[in-house]
Amino acid sequence: MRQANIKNGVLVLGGGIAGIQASLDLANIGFKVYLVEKTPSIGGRMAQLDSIFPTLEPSIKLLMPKMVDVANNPRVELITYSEVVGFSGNSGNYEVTVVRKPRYVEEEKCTGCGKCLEVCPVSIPDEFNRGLCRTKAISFYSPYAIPKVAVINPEYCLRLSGKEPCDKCLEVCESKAINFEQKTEKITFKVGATIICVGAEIFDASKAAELGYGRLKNVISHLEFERMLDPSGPTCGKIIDLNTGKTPKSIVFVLCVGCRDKRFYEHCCNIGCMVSIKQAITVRERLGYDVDIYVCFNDIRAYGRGYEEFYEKARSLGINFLAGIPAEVRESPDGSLYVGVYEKILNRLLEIKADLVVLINGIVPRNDYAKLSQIFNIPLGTDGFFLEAHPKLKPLESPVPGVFLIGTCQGPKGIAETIAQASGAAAKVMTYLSALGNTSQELLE
Amino acid sequence: MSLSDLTKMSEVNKELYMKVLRKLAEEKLFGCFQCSRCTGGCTAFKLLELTPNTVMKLTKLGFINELVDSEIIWTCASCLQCTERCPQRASPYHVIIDLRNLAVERQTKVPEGYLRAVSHILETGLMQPMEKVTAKNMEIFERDTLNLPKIAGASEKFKAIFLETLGGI
Repeated sequence: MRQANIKNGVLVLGGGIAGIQASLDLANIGFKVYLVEKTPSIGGRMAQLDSIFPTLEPSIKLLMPKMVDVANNPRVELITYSEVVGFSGNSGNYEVTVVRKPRYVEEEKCTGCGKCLEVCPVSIPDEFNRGLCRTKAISFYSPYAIPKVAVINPEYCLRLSGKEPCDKCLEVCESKAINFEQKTEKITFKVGATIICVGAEIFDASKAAELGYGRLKNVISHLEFERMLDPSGPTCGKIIDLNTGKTPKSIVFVLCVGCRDKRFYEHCCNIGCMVSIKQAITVRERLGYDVDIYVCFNDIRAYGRGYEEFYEKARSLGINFLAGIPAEVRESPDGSLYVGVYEKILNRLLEIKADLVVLINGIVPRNDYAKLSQIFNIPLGTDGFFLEAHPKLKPLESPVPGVFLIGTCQGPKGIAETIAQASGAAAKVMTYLSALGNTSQELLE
Repeated sequence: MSLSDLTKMSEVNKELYMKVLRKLAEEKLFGCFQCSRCTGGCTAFKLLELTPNTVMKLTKLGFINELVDSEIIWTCASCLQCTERCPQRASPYHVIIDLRNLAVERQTKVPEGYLRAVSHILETGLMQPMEKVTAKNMEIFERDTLNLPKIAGASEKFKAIFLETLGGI
């Protein structure tokens, strides 16, 4: 039966690799795509990574062409720095309400020259670099920001916070893009289907107080370490002891932080083992045999294609795998860290003197899932992630018709599975909309 | 050093580790992922509690002094079952032999039985001491009463080569 007023637009919520891939697939078939992203730039987590396992290719090298493609595609409407606040209607005809946060910089006018960054007097912690370095109150979200439009942080900006009538950026901007009067903007549009790929957060390890994250400077999360390894990151790819700035002599990786732990989250984060192996191999390749590398694990789960070989490569590079998770990380008065591990195979208590401790924090649900769950009427599972219609038979569908779930918001997973799901969901959207009665010509007008 | 053992108070020797590391072909040591198949089938484990997987782990972590000084490395029966069965083509046997060589090099105390065996080979040219011929009814015969040929001792040439090979001892 043919149904009237089926919309051919698709809302893709989340501009990470999942959203980018799904948007590209849908736009290439001929659908109109609204790509809504919360942060000022698309790219998501993958843009923060140095390299990907098991090929060790630079992450941004793979992501950048896709980001540019999606930004230049005429059928994709990029709506960055925005959040969905309303979603109503019925199968095949949904109305979406999006709130655009003010950038205080006009997107059409800004050329991305970066002159405003040079003159801005306020320095703030850099969110993209996980606080490892500082940026200005007016800044680009990341070195690879797309769209390359500056954003003013109203909390820190002297003028917007009402501290001083500073207008340094206004003076220097040649294209007159700065607009302090910009207000929150509400836009609505109609779509036939939705793909939700809002991603997930990594565990805040300061909750596991015994490991000293947040208290000890040289205990860092794997995402911070990833920024440190990135050549375009805060240290230009140099691996340093954050207290002294010297090259570390000994690095310890601690797996399963916050995950497989009933105090926090019970699930397995899926990628932690491989992330630690990837980072350990990268350290060995950059620093050679002068550095001792220890990976403290519960189990090594190298389940994917090429993963076991990757693990074998790590072993052949003399990376020490210790069966046992440290109970605590202690700091000695001279600033070095002591990690005690009870090694299950040797039945001995080992103590490692470490310069840097990298915690492999698990992938965990984000705080705003509850809000999104209400807006879209999709239930959350007991683990806190969005619940798919069936774990085996309908892994991409949500219980709401026409709404699909992909990427880490549906459960922890790696890049390869996320991309596979994205393409799968794009195909599902096409099937769904044509099943409602529209011929392909009408859908792709 | 960055690693120490609080249970046995032994320390890691990185210089020695690098030396052993260079000596061992990569795959002989590094492939090991502690499946402990070697220990499960070890001939010496049943009697003498040699655990080849622990030897592998300790060598990898660099506790080499401790192993070289211990008597456990001398209990290996060289049956090579561990090498045969290792799923990662690692070889605890080769690691143990390298550790023994290191012990000899450093003139650590070598167990007496070993020295006896070496001197026996030097004297007779035989691996095992000669036994007398025993019949089914437990009657013992000398070789010459049965007209069996005499076994020659080690030749001078063999002794020279053997002593040269032994080197340090």
